[in-house]
Amino acid sequence: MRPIWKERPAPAYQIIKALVLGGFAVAIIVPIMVVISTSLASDQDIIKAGGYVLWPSHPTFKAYETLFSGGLMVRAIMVSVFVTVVGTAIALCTTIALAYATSRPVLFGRPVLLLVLFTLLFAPGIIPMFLIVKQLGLIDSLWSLILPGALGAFNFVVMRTFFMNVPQEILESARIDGASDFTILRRIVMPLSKAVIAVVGLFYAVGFWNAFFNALLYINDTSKWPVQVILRTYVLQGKSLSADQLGVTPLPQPQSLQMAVVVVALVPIAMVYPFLQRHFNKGVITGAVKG
Amino acid sequence: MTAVTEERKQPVGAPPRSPKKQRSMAQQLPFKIRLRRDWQMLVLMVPGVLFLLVFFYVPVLGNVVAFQDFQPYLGIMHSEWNGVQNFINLYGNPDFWDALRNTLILAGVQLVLFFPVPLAMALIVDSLVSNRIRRAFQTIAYLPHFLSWVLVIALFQQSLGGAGFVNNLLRQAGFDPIPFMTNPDTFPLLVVAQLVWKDAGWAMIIFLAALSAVDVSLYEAAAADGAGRWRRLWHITLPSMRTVIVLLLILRIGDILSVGFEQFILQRDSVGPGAAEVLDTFTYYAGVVGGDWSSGAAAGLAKGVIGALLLWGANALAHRLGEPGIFQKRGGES
Amino acid sequence: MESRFGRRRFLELGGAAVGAVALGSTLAACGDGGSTGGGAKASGDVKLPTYKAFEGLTPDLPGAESGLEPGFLQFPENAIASVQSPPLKSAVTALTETFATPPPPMGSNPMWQALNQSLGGELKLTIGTDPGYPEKFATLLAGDSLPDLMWLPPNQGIPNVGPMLEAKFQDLTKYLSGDAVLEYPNLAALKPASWRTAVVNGKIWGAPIPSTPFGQVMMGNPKTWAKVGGLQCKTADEFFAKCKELTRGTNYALEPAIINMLHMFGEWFGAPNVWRVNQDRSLTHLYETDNYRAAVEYAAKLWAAKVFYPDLNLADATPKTANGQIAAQVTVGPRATADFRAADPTLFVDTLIPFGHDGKAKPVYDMGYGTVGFTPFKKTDEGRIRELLALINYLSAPFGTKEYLQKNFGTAGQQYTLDAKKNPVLNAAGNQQAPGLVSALQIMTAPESVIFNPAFPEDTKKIHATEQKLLEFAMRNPTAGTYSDTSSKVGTKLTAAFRDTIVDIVTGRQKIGAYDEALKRWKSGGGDKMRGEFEAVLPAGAPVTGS
Repeated sequence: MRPIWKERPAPAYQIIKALVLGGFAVAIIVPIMVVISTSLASDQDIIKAGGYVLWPSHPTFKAYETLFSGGLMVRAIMVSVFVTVVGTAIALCTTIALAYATSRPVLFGRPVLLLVLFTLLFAPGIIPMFLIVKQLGLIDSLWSLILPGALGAFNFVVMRTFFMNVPQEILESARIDGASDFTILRRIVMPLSKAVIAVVGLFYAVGFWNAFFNALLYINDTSKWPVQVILRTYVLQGKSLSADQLGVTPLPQPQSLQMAVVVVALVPIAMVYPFLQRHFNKGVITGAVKG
Repeated sequence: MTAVTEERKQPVGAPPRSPKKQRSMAQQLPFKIRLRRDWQMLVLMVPGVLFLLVFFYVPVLGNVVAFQDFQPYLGIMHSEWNGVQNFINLYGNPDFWDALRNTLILAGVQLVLFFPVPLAMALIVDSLVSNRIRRAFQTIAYLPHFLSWVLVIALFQQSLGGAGFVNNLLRQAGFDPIPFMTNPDTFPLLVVAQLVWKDAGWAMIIFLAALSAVDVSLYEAAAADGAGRWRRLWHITLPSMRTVIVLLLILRIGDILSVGFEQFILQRDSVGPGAAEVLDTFTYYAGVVGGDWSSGAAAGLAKGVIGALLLWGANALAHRLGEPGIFQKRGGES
Repeated sequence: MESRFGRRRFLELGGAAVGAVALGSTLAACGDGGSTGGGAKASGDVKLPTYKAFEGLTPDLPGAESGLEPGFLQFPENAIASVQSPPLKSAVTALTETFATPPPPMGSNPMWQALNQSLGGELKLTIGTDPGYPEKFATLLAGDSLPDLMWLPPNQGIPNVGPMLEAKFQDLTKYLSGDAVLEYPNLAALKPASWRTAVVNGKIWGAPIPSTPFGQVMMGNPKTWAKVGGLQCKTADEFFAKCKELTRGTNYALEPAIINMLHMFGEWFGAPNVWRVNQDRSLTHLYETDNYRAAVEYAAKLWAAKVFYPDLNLADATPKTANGQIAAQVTVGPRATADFRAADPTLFVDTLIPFGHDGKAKPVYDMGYGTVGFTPFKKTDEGRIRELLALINYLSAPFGTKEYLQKNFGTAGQQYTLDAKKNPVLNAAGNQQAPGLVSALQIMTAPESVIFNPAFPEDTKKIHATEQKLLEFAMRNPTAGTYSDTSSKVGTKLTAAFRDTIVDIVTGRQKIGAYDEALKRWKSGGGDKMRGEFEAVLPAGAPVTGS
């Protein structure tokens, strides 16, 4: 149903809007289609096109079969899912707690805030970071991929800003009713901030899913490698150092394999978004406040 | 949101309440009382602060290698100290200044041309009536964020490159090809176009979240009062999102010296370092390529200090304009 | 970036041609009298391991000291055992890098387990990838958690190799120098030219990892070049004309890898392999020669004629060369024909033999680095050193031995089967278990290289013939195997800066005048210092290559 504040716009606006959104969507869909087509293309298709393929005339799943043969990829996907799910949960808890605790003028609020902001500006070096992880005995543990990412300053700042904008009178009336800070956070602030929690959760999840460099440094056991590390080795190399000398049967065209890698990296995380979308819809918040 | 709450009582468009007021009382309370009052908040801080200490503050001290001739096989304890030599080298290198200039130009262009795009897109998406179209568009628009820069640039090349789709069409039609991908003068525009394609849909999400917090009853009331679409946009929507917009702007300004690494190093050859060398690629060549950890750390520190100044400046400016910004100037509850 | 850097960097590794060699290493052949200076003197004193070729295997096409690789038309029928007893008593850890897909981990990799079985102990590999290897190397080093073996790449930005080796790694001179190496016959079968890589500060630090000694070559699709009378040319003008003719519509003559192409042109114009040795034993760097400058101008002329594929970002030209969209590209060594066979089994690409730019001058062919570095040991006691050396000896077993089969193909019936011609061919299980593991093992230990294309024995003959032609013009980097502190510290950086300018010049973004300015900066930034250091240790055996 068309709400009252969404009156039917003038046809000119409608056309402009349709053109902008439609154009943008096409500009995205066509290249993504090229990626998918190339991943399904046969060697001849790729040689014929000299690289990317718009439409595979001899579609094949060879690239995907190569990717998933040997079980390494399935295990890696499981590792990545674990790191992403657990990491996002931990990071969300840490961030929500800290953001809420600094969203009001409380004891030590300001110095803690400054502590976080400082992390926006400077970065610890690779070597000291490695030494810490090693000291904590986290080398070769999946926690080495989770704990160092348990708080992102950007996400924290965004979260805190949304928390600060929760209507103060609601909080104050709750406090007068004798609610503790824990209760206020759980019962009022969090339900009112579903949208930002969804956004920040998505940011964290994508961050954990895409991370690979920590795994390169901290995980020596290849059976614990997340999916991105393995995928990168496909995209980057394509050619075995001495395949010629060894008579190793050639891999499928790197191009199709590389695009299959892109698809595999994209699909699981892309599936998360539609589930979160409803939190961005209008009415959720107002409903909560009124109820 | 603050703005929304205010507007319930005040005429549409009034500035949001200044955050200063809330705090004045807290200052006078003695420590013990505040401790008793705030202990739960302190408990909530513990995990985050612990994380910061262990995974940030301890390792960040490793940046002292900026004042050393650091060698991994010697470690921090045994590497030679060389004072501010690494910074002097940086200062005396004309390439550094070129890279700084490019970085600022590119950041400026990005700020002006890229920053508003996701906001505008979020507003358009928000104005859609059909939930189906809205969801479909959001899902499509955010996909490119997951493609690596290598691929994004390869795809751009396929369409706009010298041997790309558009130029092949131009050639067939008898025109000269247009060097979209290799002209140093238009490089900033190319960069923005790539950025819009890759990240506008993604950046839109945060604005959508902010939009979802706008109270629809305000729209209803305004619409009933006969306020047109532009008036409502100007007086309800934008003021409600102001805090978030300002916040993101401040964060971007504090981070202005990072305009991206992969996007530039990949295109450095095709447009030349004269246009595409930015601070991060400069550091890469000056430090990482030769395994010079100290130079890298020195550049990082310099960047951090400049970022801090910019962040502070932008935040102060936001205060002038009556925005809370990232952190408040006068608080002093510690 | 990586897709491109990985490959380009790898090309440069094999080519190791233009520009500074990041890893400084040794001296030259032992017994050189000419050099002076402490470090150089010390280097001169070390006796390289005695060379004793592997016996019991005759290649179908003979190799030679010049670098010519022996060719095998098929795998030797009865593989010989080169190692008497399993080398290990306990587990060994090693840092290496894979250039293929990472292998299934040891626990679920029967090929790996079988290798452990025949080694007598577990070989625990920490497998790095590109990018990230230098960082991994540095963190392990800084964390003092060194594995027993660490592959030291020659071109990935690990500076100050000399002091680093002294501080953390084991001096192996005593166990390998001279006849001591004979205890490890497979290591004795590595050529002296390869061993030079592993000598730093007059000490031997590990076994070298030989790779093809050939440098970059230009390869072209014969079907494409047939239209203009073939890839081979007599003069630079002829090449120019052919390129122009081949550039039509969406087809282009040349791959847009400017630096690599420029390297090829430089050879036609007689530019030296990194350093020119003058009559008075002084050195002139490639960048300082008029020859290279002429090559830059020639490249700019080609660029202006639009014969280069117009997208400089192109990651890999191979598919485009195979389908004719690009006529010629640069690869490493004549053996790279196999890359094109992999893309299109019907395609055997042509390799351009360098020619004099004016049809008269003598061209040059730049030989490559010859090894992919060496693998030093963590400091340890004699018993362990002997155990690790025995391991390296096993893993360096030459082509055609039982150990070679075990390392590269696994177990008969499990990972490979013999085809109709009795060549080992990986089966489905082998294709899963082998590539990542083999690549990781190959980069840290290898025998001297051979030419072997089981599916295409004719290719082996042709490649062998091409190598002989290239060797007529072969020039080696006279400073290969010598060490310059400055080069080790700033060489890579200086080269990168200079290359930026020449790419600008070739693509018309800057005028040729910028060349002199860039050269001045190269010299004052460390180039002159490097020259001095290299001159001081210039091996007497290095031939004069200029006036």
